[in-house]
Amino acid sequence: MGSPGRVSDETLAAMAAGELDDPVLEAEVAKDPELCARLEAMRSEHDLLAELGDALRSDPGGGAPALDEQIEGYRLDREIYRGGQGVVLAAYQESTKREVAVKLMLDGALASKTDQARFDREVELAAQLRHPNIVTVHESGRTRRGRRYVSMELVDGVRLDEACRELCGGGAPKSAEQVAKIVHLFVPICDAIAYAHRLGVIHRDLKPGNVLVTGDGRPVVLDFGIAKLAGSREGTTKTGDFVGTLSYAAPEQLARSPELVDTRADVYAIGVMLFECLTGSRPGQVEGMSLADSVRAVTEQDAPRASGLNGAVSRDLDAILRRALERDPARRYQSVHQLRDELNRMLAGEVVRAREGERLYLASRFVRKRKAPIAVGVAILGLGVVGVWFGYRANIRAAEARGSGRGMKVALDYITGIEYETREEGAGAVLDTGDRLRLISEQVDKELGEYPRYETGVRTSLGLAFLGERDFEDAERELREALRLAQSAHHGDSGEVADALHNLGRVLWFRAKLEEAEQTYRDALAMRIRLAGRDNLDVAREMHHLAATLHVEGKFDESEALWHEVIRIRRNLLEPNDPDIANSLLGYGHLLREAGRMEEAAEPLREALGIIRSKGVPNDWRVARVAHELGACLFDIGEYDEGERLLRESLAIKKAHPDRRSEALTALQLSRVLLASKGVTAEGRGLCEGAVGILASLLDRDHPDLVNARMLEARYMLADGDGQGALAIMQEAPSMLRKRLGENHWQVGEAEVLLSESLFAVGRRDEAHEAAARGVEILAGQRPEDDKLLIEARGALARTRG
Amino acid sequence: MIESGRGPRTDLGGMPRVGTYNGAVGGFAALRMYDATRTTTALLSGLHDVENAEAWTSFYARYVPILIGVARRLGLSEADAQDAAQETLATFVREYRQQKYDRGRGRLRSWLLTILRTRVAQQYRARAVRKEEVGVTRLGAMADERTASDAWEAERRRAILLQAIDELRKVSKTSDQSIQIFEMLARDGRSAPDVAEEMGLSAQDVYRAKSRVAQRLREVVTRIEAVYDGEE
Repeated sequence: MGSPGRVSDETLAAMAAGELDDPVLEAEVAKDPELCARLEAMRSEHDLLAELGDALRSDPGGGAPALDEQIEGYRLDREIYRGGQGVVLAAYQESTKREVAVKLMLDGALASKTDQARFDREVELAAQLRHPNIVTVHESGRTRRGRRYVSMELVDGVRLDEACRELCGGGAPKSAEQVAKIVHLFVPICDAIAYAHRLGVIHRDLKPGNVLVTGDGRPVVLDFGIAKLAGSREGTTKTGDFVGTLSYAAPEQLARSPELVDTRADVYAIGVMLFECLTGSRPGQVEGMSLADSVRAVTEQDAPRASGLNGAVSRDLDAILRRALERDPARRYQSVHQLRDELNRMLAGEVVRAREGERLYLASRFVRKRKAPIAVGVAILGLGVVGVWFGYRANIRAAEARGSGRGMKVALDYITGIEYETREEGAGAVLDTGDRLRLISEQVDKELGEYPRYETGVRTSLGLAFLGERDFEDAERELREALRLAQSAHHGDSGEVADALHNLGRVLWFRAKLEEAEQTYRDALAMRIRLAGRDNLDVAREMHHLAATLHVEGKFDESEALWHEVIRIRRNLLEPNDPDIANSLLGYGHLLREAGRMEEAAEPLREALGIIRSKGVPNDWRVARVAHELGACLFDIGEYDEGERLLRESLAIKKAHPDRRSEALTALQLSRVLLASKGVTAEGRGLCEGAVGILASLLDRDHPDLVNARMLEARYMLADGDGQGALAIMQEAPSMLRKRLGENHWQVGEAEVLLSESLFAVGRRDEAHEAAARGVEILAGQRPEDDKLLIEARGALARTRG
Repeated sequence: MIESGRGPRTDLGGMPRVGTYNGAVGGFAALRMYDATRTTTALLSGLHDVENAEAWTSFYARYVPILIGVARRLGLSEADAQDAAQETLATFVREYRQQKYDRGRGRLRSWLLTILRTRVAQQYRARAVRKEEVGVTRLGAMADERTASDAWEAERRRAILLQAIDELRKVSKTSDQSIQIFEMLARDGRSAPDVAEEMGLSAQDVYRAKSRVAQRLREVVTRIEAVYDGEE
């Protein structure tokens, strides 16, 4: 056993036993078929063991928890519900002469003393809650046999999701009225949760099964604080149950630090319940997915639009749900109170706060009603306000608004500009903007007829604006529509269609639909060549984008040929120090580096840096980018001094810009150079740790940039003789990189080499040898014999042999 | 029988008595040697012969612990459950020999459970007469077919597991610590590192032992399951 670089048997056993409730780890395991099989085997062993334990310990019939239990002062009447944690019985409390519900916990549900103490504390807290929409907890104690129980108000009701279906005649809501009925039901639920939060009690396990709706329509929240405490065991041993509740868990609940979970997790869970009641499905629909996929779905994917699943859901409600379901708690409603106020606003037909943040709220409202944008666009032309320009949205380059798009872009900027201004003034003003736009629209309707060709421009502008907002889904929709409109307006080749193809290619690239992006760029390129011949700047631009796409797809040969051609065309047509040439040189140099041709890469990068520097712009971001790339390249070929100088320059510029990720990457590269040239220094170590901290806060755990940073951290540990520390990092690194970068990426090779060194440092020579062999195998094919990394790999292989 | 509440006292109609139930050692330890290999189908055909004591003994040994467990789960006390189980088997064998039991008509399990549930209901009525209700009312309602059938499955599984571990204990060599380790993990619910420390082994060894025994146990269980055929 003892396989290298992965989850240990101890860990697997703890997971199998349900002692370790760590979905992230589960996801790690789920990625690896071999580990998966082992965990499955261990689970089944554990279940068998547990079953046998029960059989050996108990009397016959001892497995039945409720039947001959006795509780002082209660008469136990009938079983209401039986679940993984225990049994709920209807009972008669003799002292108060009332019917109550008694929840009997199963023996296994509260395994440790700590669990039991926490259980008691939570019950005590929950017992303080007195709210019409929260089940009243009376007391807790032990049965005569010593089993824990909680007695509480007996609620006669149906589950929330069932109640919602009943409200809508069995199914999802089909009208605005039915939607409103459901939202009305959620307002008191929010009240209840907000009340509990004020008393410091977080529910942590809100789901439809924990909210009952009584016959007279009163929702009652059950199981405050209790369910989750006792639930960890149930959660991991029965994957099905776990996946069920996983849907309602906020992403931070799935992360490694439970202390980060606060009241905003309940906001998220309410959002999921509302989403489910409105659409019949959950935002991260995880049933039928593997555990790994479902954790990924919850932690990585944004919720889909509820309105996309049920047309009866309004955009306002959509926006509220989106806000409630933000992955980052900081971007969610900060309290259940806020969420409740929004629902009330929505019910009252007021403007919801969630939409204020959408810069294109009003603009998009116009575009979606097909006639309006035409009207607005033309209105602005007609009213002679073409000169209006708000420069705040610099990310849309003027060049992309060429042709028929220009007028519309101006129009759009006008609209968003108004909205920008009014947002500064406060919420109330937004309506004024709408009124103003409506006035313009009406006026234009009177003055001008139909100008359908403007729609292409409006959609293009909107699409690019969405792209600038990084709202790729909306951007793709608008840009596809723009392309369709352009194609139907022009038969055959035209600059407008090529532009539209180009724009669509960009959004596809951002959405990582690389194959389709490649084809789209190819179509655009072919059209441009047919229109203008090869020596043309539009052709060069198309080639540039296609080359970059091919590079990412790993099609290095064709990408390289294209870079040559782009650079040739641009050199022909542009001034020698045009930044576009530098840009293509940077792309080319980057490709050479990735292909392992470090020596060759230095030349175009040097040239690119020279061009950018000649512009003499102080603190030029472009200088920082190229200096980083060249600095890294020089490190690769062992020219540490110049590399260090360039990286320091790059870092100084980046510190003046807000992109912290980019800053971290340069700090990391500088740290790498310092380690190679000067050994362990306080500065180098500080840079590395700082970068890891920044990247860890920004990126997923298995993001290659973060993994790379941690690998440098491991190198520092190895230099300090801390093999265990390095191994802790390196055990997972190769598999994480493999998954993201593919089997044979050189970074995987580097990770294997470092893993080998870590294993060697703790005396696991055989495993170290295997890892080194894997590293050499990956690197030997793609690196020259004198490559630093390959030499390191061969060294590791030789050292671990025999 | 109600007032005494201790030990099997029912007249089994001249059938041999075999051992008494002892919960502390895990059931009918003395009986297990009878039933290990013969299928339930074979036992049933043996039951036709009044003189076939072995068939009866084995059948009794196989099903009395299950029936006691079910009766306990249906709310009877230990003593009442034993009585009910033995009466149930006695009734069954009598009806079986009278050709009332027909494999085509009903399954062994449901046949036995029907008899047992009648017994349990009688116990409740007796209790009600004696006004002995303590904390549990309306439990009779729980002795429905579904509950009884679930209880049967659980008890049957339990019986098979106990039989399997017993068999493993017998066949394993004394030098083999695996079973001991397994039982420490299972019965005492101890952690692997804990057991490793006590036995002077590595945690890895404990995991290996656990998985080895689990595998063997599963094989034995599968084999025994096959022997318990003919219930369906």
